[in-house]
Amino acid sequence: MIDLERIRGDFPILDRIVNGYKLVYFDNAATTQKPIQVIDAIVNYYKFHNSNVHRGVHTLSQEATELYESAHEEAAKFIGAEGLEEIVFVKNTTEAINLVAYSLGMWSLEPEDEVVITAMDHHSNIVPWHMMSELKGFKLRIVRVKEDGTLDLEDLADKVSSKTRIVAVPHVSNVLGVVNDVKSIAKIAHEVDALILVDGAQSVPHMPIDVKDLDIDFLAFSGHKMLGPTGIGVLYGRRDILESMRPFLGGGDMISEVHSDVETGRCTISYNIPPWRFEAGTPNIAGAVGLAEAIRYLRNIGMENVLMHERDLVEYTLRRMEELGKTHVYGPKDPGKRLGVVSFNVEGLDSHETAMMLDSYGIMVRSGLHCAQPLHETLSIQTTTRASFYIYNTREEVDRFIEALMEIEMVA
Amino acid sequence: MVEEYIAKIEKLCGAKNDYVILLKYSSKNEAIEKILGNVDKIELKTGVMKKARHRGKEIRIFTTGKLIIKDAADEDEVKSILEELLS
Repeated sequence: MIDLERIRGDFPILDRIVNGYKLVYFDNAATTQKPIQVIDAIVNYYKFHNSNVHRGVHTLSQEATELYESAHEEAAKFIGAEGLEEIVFVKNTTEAINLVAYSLGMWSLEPEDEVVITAMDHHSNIVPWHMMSELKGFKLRIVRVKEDGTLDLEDLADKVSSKTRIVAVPHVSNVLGVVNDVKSIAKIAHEVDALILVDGAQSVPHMPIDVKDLDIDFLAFSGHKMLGPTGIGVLYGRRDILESMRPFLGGGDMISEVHSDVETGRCTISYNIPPWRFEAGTPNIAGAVGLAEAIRYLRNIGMENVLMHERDLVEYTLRRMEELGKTHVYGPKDPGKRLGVVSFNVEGLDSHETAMMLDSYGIMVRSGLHCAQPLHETLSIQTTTRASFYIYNTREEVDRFIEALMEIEMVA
Repeated sequence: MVEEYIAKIEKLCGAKNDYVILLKYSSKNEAIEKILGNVDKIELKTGVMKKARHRGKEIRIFTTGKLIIKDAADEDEVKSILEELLS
């Protein structure tokens, strides 16, 4: 069970009054709020340990390196990875996916190959593959979404073939909250020797994840969607695959040796081992420290408890939304098939008008396409208003949200 | 005149020709008063939002200091409408 009162006490921002009302923050799929423990960890890093990492012999550099590398270990433990060798720190989920798309795309994919993505994907798992397919000439196959918003696994099985080299799928839809069966998808991909990349931006913060149990090759997620700071994200990669991959960005720290010949203009370069091979230049050390603290905070609560709490909120929200007359909710009706995201529209209002009216009641939600235009087109919806939950949200806040929607429906 | 009251004009995500206008917090009440006094027609008044029409365009005015102007040709038309409403 979650001690909501204690948890909410850790988030100073939740005491804010916005537009005359106590803040209700339902925009967690975009980014989450930060507990005081994470804020303090970042402040303390800058106050007492700030230095650059790796290859420094002085005390502060060693302290910063220790903090930075132990953050990799924390992330590894959190998702069941073998160790820090499998954890690459990046800017965010988008950069993690770009890293894989560019590294494998540039060096391993040929025009006769195929990459399978889905119509459910966030733009960050569509655009990098599209850009690389334009460059290298390989074909993209896009898996259909069914009318109820779930992924069409039969279509996926049809589109995965001996030509498939990579299957890149979202674990949880950022619009509908639908949870995809990535374990089964991994099995389908591996049967044809394809690699599977999972966009975990909306799953890792909300449910227990074990990459070995899921048998996936890559997992991408962002720190800021799981109580951590912005500017830090994670790419998990299976150790043997990362060891076989070329770097994405070049610069300091990602090399073992660099020699240059002023006569011939030739450089001879050997690359560092993973994960450092993929972390060029000075990394976001304070971000890593903040992420590690966020992971410890979540682990103390327990990811099973996080999942149960969100399922309860979604079930309660869907039930209460049935009381509304003019509000249409998208995605499966079964709360067991989704996580804490509820997208909807109010008849007579566009999604932005609804979001702005909710803002007037101190309720923060997102409106628009949520970087998932193909999914909106598939479902024939122009845009949606999205409420998304996290560990500090309450049933009382859902009640306020429903009451506000009831008033909004009256003017729609 | 527009700069005096407007903090930002942005195209709305997923809506081809709709724009959101953020009023400067310090002068938002004065700006809303001017806008309501200058629009061609006020179609609906509620606690949190007013629906209005000006030059044939639908306008939404929120008490929080945000406006939506629908179906504008471009940002220049939005600015021109705002110039009239805020004069």
